[in-house]
Amino acid sequence: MRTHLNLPSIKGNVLPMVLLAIALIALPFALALVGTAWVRITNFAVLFVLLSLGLNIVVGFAGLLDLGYVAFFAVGAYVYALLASPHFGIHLPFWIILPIGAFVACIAGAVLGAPTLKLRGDYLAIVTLGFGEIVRIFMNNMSNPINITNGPKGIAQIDPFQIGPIDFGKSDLLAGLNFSGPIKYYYFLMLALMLVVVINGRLKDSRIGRAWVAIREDEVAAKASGINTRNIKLLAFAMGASFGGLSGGMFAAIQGFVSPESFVLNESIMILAMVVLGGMGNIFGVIAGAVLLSFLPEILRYTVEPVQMAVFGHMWIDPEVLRMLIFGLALVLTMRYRPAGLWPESRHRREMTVVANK
Amino acid sequence: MNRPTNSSSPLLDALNLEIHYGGIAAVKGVSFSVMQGEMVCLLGANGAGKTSTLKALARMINSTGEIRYAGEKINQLPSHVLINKGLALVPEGRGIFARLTIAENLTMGAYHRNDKAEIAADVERIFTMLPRLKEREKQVAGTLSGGEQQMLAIGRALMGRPKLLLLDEPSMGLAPIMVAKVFEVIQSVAAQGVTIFLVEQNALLALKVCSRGYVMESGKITIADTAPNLLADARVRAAYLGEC
Repeated sequence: MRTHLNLPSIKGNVLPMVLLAIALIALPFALALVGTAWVRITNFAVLFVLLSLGLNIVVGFAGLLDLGYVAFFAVGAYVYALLASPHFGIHLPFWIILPIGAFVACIAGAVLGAPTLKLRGDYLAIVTLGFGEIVRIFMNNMSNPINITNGPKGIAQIDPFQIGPIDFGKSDLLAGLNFSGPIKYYYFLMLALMLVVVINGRLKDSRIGRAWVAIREDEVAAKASGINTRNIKLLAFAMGASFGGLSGGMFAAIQGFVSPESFVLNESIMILAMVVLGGMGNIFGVIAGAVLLSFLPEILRYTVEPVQMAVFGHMWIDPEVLRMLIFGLALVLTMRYRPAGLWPESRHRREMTVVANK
Repeated sequence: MNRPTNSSSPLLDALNLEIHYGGIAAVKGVSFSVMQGEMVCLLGANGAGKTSTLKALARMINSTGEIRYAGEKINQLPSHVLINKGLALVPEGRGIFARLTIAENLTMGAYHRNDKAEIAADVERIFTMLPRLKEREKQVAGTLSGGEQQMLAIGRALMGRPKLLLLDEPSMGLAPIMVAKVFEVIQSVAAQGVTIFLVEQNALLALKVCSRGYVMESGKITIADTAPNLLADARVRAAYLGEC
């Protein structure tokens, strides 16, 4: 077991790390000054970072194109919703439900993985896309004859997190600071993010991580090198899915409401775009991609209208249309000029040369 | 079929091997054997079923009939356990990890091993054998020339410390000078005591280095003989050595 993490700037670069930590701790209060909406937007951005890191295991590490990843997000969200809402009258605490959600999603990941083991590239993409839709349609229709998911109406009044006396659904005053619900969730999400980043880093460095790289590069050669490609691929699906399930549970609690509408194909594509744009396989690239693609539409939402008014005096193009136009253009330009993503994974993976030189 | 394992019994024994792709029979009941320390080739034209046979031996595809390796029936084993038993495949078309460095490619070949010190020693051993690779240790494998990639693929297979090396058309798409170099490497591997089963279209070259050979035509073995006899065989000369 190696103990080092393949993260840049942990050793010798303490100051920037401390500054980053302080900035991240202070961030929600700064955002709250602009408006609580921005804290919520940030929370959703962090959720997307978590989802992207999960999908990165499947797409970035193992090279398996998955277009139905949002299904695992949905599974986690519904597990949380069913076990912490008046729908069934069950109100379990979040620290029990989140692992259950991750586990159920993990099983779902293996179930999806099993029939796709012999598929690759575009065929794999189509099957996973189908799986994503099946899950959503199930959620949409499992209200009859037994009402499990409440169909398209969704499940409302989902319990917020509760740690002892701290209720994530309410605001608390502490040391003169107003800890609103979204701010509490922000800190929880940050802890979850740290955990997921560390797990991702460890996975990437591990024997399993090397096997994923081998499968991604050449499956026949991987097999010939003694890698059990079947199990290692299933593991990628299952691990990626469990991160999706974990994020889904947090999403349900933050939102207080889930419905099948939140888990459409568009979301899967968006998460995939975050991974690809950021730089497949590189944890920090993926984080950058997710943050950028989460904030860009929101920033455009708030700037497109005032800019047009200032320049032309009246609205030429509907803000919603222009927003998506600029967003699409940004994606196209990035992929044109940085085809490997904004922050691609280094081809000279250190962990392996280190082993070779030992 | 319960033959005892001793030095005189074959290291690899294929009996009545059949391979089907859907309804099409690619290999129609072939039998052959390779003795310990021997260097044997399987010759034939495109589409004769040579690569399918080799893939079946490495358990990459399913086959009926019986495959015995070191006395053990391996028909039902998954491919990834074979390297542990000392059976390594160098896939067709080189099959290297193109975006990994040469050193990374070699260490990947020792994936199933845990002895770090020994692995490092083996990497050095292979670099001594293939000095061209040593110079490019940190280079990405995809940027190597075809012949160097083929040597790397052989090197990676050797990292598994095989007893039997299955080689699928190592001369494919290489310049004649590189073909000669690759074959020099293969011969030096054989000299180290590794048994070799070689699939080749380049019959002349293969028969010059091997002791025995099998000729495969449309899924069947039609001729089996020693290399000198095959080189002298009129049918072989006509079909594979370009003599009329």
